[in-house]
Amino acid sequence: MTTSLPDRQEQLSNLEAAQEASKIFNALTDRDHVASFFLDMGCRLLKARSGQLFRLEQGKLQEEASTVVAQKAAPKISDPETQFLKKIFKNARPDILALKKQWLLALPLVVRSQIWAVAAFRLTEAPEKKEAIYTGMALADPAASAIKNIEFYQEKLRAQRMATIGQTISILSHEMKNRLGVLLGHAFLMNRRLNKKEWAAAQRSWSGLHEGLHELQEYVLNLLSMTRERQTVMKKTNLNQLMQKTVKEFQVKAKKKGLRLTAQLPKHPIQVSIDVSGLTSVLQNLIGNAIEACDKKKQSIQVKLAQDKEKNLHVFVKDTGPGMPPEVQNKIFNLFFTTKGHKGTGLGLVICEKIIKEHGGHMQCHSAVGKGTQFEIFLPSHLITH
Amino acid sequence: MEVEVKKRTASVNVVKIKGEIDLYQSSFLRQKLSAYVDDRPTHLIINLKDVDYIDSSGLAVFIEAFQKLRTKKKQIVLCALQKRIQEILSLARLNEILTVADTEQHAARFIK
Repeated sequence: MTTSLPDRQEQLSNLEAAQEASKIFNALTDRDHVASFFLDMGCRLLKARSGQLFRLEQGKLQEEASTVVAQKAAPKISDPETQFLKKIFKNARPDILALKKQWLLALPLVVRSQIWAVAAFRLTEAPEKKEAIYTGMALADPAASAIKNIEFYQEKLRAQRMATIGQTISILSHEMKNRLGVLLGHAFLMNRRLNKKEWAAAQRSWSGLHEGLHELQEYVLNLLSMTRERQTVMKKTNLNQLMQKTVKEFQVKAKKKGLRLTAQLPKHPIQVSIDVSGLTSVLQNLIGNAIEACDKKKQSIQVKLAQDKEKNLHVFVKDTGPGMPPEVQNKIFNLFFTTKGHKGTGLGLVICEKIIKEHGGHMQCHSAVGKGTQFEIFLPSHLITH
Repeated sequence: MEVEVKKRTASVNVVKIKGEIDLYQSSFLRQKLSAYVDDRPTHLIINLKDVDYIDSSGLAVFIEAFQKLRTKKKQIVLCALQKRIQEILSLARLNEILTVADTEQHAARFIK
C-alpha cells in the first residue's frame, strides 16, 4: 500500500509534534502531568476518542490516567479488550484490536527492558496500522522515559531524606546520651553524699547537676531555633555600638588567654534595622570561636565593620590563630559538624548563617593553616536606616 | 522577563508576560502562576503579546497550569501570540490542546 502525499505530510507533522512533545515531557516535573499530557497528545495525533493508561497489578488491569475528547467519561474496557491489553503486557509489542468497527491501539510503555504500563487509545476511524503504531510509539517511548526519570529522581530524594533523618537521629541520641550520662553521674554522687551527710560535697554535685541541666536546656533551645522559624524582631540600632559592646564583653576572656582583641569601626555611626539579639548572638559566636581557636599567647582577634561602594555592610571577625585546612573549612556550616570534640555541638555556625540569611545577607569563611581565619558577614544596604 | 497579573473579573485573571520564556525564566514563571493555579485557582488569560521566544520548558509551564486548572474546572487561554510563537504551538500541535485566542477580549469569550 502506498501513502498519498497529504497522508505523508500528516505523518511528518505528527512525528514533528511527537518530537516537540518529548521535549515538553522532559521539562515537566510531575509524573501525572506527563501521563496526562501524553494521553492528550496521543488523542490528537492518533485521532482517538479517548486515551487510557493501565498498569497490571496482581493480574488485574488498573487505570492510572485517562483523557477523553468530546465525551464525559472514559469508556469501559470490554472482556476481549482486557485480554488483548494483558497480552500486550506479556509480549510488550504495540498492536491494534479491531472489533465491530472499533479500533483499540495499545502501546507498551517500556523502560530499561521492563514494561510498566500500557496506553490504550480508542481510534475514531480505521487506522493505517503501521503508521498509527509508529506515531504512537514516537510519543510513548519518551513519555515512559520521562515518567521513569521523575520516579527515579523522587526515589533518590526520598532515600537521601531518610539517610539524613537517620544520621540526625543517631547524632542527637549520641549527644543526649552523653549529656544525660553526666547528669546521672552528678545525681548519683549527690545521692551518695546526701546519705553520708557530706553537705559541702553534695552542694558541689548539685551545682554540677544544675549546670548540666542548664547546658542541656540551651542545647535543646538551639536545636529548636534550627528547626522552627525564628521570630525576627527588627529594631533600629547603632551597629557600631552593638559591635563595640559585644567586643567589650569578651575582653576579659581574651586577656586571660593572653590574646589581643580589638575593634575597628567607622567613625560615623551606622544606624540599621536588624534583629538585635540575633546579630549579637552571631557576633558572640564568632568572637567566642576565635578566642577558643587561638592556641598561643599574643595571637590577635580583630572585629571590623566596613561599607562598600553600594553601602552594603561587611562585618569581619579575623584571628591569627592556627587556621583550618580546606576539608574542615568546607564542612563548618554543616549541621552537627564540630572541631571542638565533646565541647562543641555543631550548631553555632549553622544558626549564625540562618540568622544572617534572615537579614538577606550571607556569610563566608577564609582560612589558611598557620595564618588564621576570617569570617565575613555581608549585610545588604537596605538594612541601613537614615 | 516580567510578569504582571491583573484581575479582569472576580474569577478571571490576566497574566501579561514580557520578554523571553526560556529555561532560566520558566521556573520564575511557574512560581508566579502558582498563586493562581495552586493556591487560589482562577481562570487565566495569558497575554503573550510581548513574548518573542518560548522553549519547551516554557511550554511545559503552560501545560502544567492547564492540567492543574482542568482538574479544578478552570480554564487557561493563551492570547495575542506573535507569529513565531503561533508557529511553535502549531508545530507541536499544542493549539489543539490549549485554547488560543487573538485578543484578550476574544479570550474572555472562551471562558465559560
